[in-house]
Amino acid sequence: MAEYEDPLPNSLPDPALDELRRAWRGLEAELPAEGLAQQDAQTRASVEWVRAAWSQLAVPEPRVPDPLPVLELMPEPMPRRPALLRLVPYAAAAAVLLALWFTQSEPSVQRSGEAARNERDASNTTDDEGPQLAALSSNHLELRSGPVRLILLKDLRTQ
Amino acid sequence: MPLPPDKAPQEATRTLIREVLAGSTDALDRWYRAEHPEVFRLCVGFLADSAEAEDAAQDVMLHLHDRLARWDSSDSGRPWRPWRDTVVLNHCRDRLRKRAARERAHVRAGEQAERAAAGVLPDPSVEAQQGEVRAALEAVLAQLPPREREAFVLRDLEQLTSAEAADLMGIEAGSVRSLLTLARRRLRGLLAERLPGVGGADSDG
Repeated sequence: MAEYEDPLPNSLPDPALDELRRAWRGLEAELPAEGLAQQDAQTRASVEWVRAAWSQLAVPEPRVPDPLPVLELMPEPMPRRPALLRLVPYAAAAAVLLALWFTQSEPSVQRSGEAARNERDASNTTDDEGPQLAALSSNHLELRSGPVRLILLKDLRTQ
Repeated sequence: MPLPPDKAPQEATRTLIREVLAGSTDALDRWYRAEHPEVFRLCVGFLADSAEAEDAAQDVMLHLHDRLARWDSSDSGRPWRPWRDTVVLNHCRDRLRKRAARERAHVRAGEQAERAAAGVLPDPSVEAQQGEVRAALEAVLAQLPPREREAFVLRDLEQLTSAEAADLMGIEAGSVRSLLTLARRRLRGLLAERLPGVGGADSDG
């Protein structure tokens, strides 16, 4: 902040100026009188007239709003099953599908190949009949009983 | 000159508002009829236009009703009247801001100034002159700048203290007193010579 420069350097010594400045800054503005009684007659009369006119104002009838109708509660909907229970049918269907898939993809019995079939084909047997000799050769034997087929192979490495 | 009517005791107001909040239709009607006159007069004071004040008062009542739950109706809550008056004041300030072009306001003020300056003031106590009284009142209030008008309405008409008025207006109490002094001086200039029996002389010499 710039130093105050006394325009009249020879007027008053600094301490006196400082004192004056302090007194000046300490001054408080006197607030105007509030009470109507402290006002002049014309002011009082003017304010009283306005008061009277204001208090005698004709107030229009208020438009009271109609209360909102109370909404009827909707009937309780059917209770929903718990979420887990709702999934049961889907789980059951998935299990069935999985079971079908597993049964369909079961590895088939190893067959000796088409060679055995070509040599001798067993006659069709019914489920009612017992095991039947389906094929016989020097190095393999095939037995069949219904859907079950047993094939025995001779280990050619031992010869 | 009669002062504004006594206000309902705080406790009665709290009880009534609790009944309104509880959903009582009858309490809502009673609350409306108890509050609306004061709200309307405040709006006239702030807006200096009774036609607009009628709309404003209806809007304010709906506003107050919508926000009643926000006012703490317990015994330790804020007093009702300052809360209500704050809502009214803010609403009227918004309306004043949104008024059509300043030219229209100036034209209105000019017309009202002409009416304010003409002839002896009607007597508020005479029922037959109520229409003229209202017109003259609006004209006079319209001559006050908005802030002076607020201070005058809250202090001299609503009988609030400077501190209460300052709290509502969002200014210092000293500023309220200054605005009030200016408003009174202006009113004196507008009305003194028109008041019967007062004359034009300044009695305090």
